[in-house]
Amino acid sequence: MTAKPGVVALTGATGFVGKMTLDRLIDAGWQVRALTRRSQPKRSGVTWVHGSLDNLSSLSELCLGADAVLHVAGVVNVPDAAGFEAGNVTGTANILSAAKGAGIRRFVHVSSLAAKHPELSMYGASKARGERLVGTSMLDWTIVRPPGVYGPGDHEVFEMFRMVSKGIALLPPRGRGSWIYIDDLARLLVALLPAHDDATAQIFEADDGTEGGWSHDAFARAIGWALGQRVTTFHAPRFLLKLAAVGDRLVRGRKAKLTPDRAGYLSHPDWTIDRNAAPPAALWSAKMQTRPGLKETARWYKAQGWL
Amino acid sequence: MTDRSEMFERLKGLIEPFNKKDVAVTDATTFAGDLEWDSLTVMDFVAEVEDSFDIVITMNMQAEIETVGQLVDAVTKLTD
Repeated sequence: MTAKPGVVALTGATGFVGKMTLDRLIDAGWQVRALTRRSQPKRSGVTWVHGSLDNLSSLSELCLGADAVLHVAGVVNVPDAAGFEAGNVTGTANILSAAKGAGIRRFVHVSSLAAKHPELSMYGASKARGERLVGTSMLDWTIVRPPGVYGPGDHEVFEMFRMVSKGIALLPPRGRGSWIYIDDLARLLVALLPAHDDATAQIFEADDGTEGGWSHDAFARAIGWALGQRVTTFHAPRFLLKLAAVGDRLVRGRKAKLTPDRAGYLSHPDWTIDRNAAPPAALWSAKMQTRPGLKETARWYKAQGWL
Repeated sequence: MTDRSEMFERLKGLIEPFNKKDVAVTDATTFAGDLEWDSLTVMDFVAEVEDSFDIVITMNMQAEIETVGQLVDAVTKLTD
């Protein structure tokens, strides 16, 4: 059905999505060249390449002998537009140019649903610009726009688990969102890696199959169900969310989870995927529905002592 | 005919601020080869063109445009 795995150059391998993707790549028989800033433990099937997205020679080394690039790295939480531009735009331009320099044709790029509304956040704007670079690169590209990603190892949705475990959930203004379990996203990225006519020059939006996504309220209640915790939900008015974001920045500084930029897109009422943009079913379909996925995630947080 | 040369002049005007090497701009001028623009410069320029004409140049369209002349034709078509 698909070509046999070869060598892939992977960015973002130490992040939440990248870590799981690395596992799935190895399972599928890929030889992985993975970019990292810090020393990583030796692992069979993985060649760690020291460097970063702003270091061109490290990117050339990363791409050396690779058949495809899987660009997972990106920044979600930096203080200003310049940081988003450097991480998500210049970084993408750099890895694209390294791929071309190495004669690589296949390029799979992880974007975000936020790129659909560049006007709402600096993050979304930078992801949209990154997409544009990939889409005009003349490579054999595929872009994936994940919706909300959750699962074992994640620090972001964990904030919601933590709130809910205390019986309350302070939510963005009423709206809906689609979700995908980390393992399904990782499998999708691996499935897209071999060149495939149905995937070339496509922007895919993929979720766990929940029709119409989840309202924020129902999603918080589903987390409560997974934790066995009754939960009271509140929707923050837009201005309060902005205010809370400024507060979080003041208190946690650069570690703030709720930044003013994030508040901008959290307030948008519709972050569901376009089912017409779903990947071909022959290539991939989600295995984990939301509720069992949340249950699995809750079990992991508890086992790790996070909750 | 005048329409096309008008369009050429307008686009040439938009190219100028990005034309750091003062390359002479003709229909045959290529963005990557002659103007030596990198992908980021091309993207910023395209955004400028989109804003100026209130049009959307899709990624597929952009990928096919190599010369100034091709851009003139593409924008002419989009603003018809």
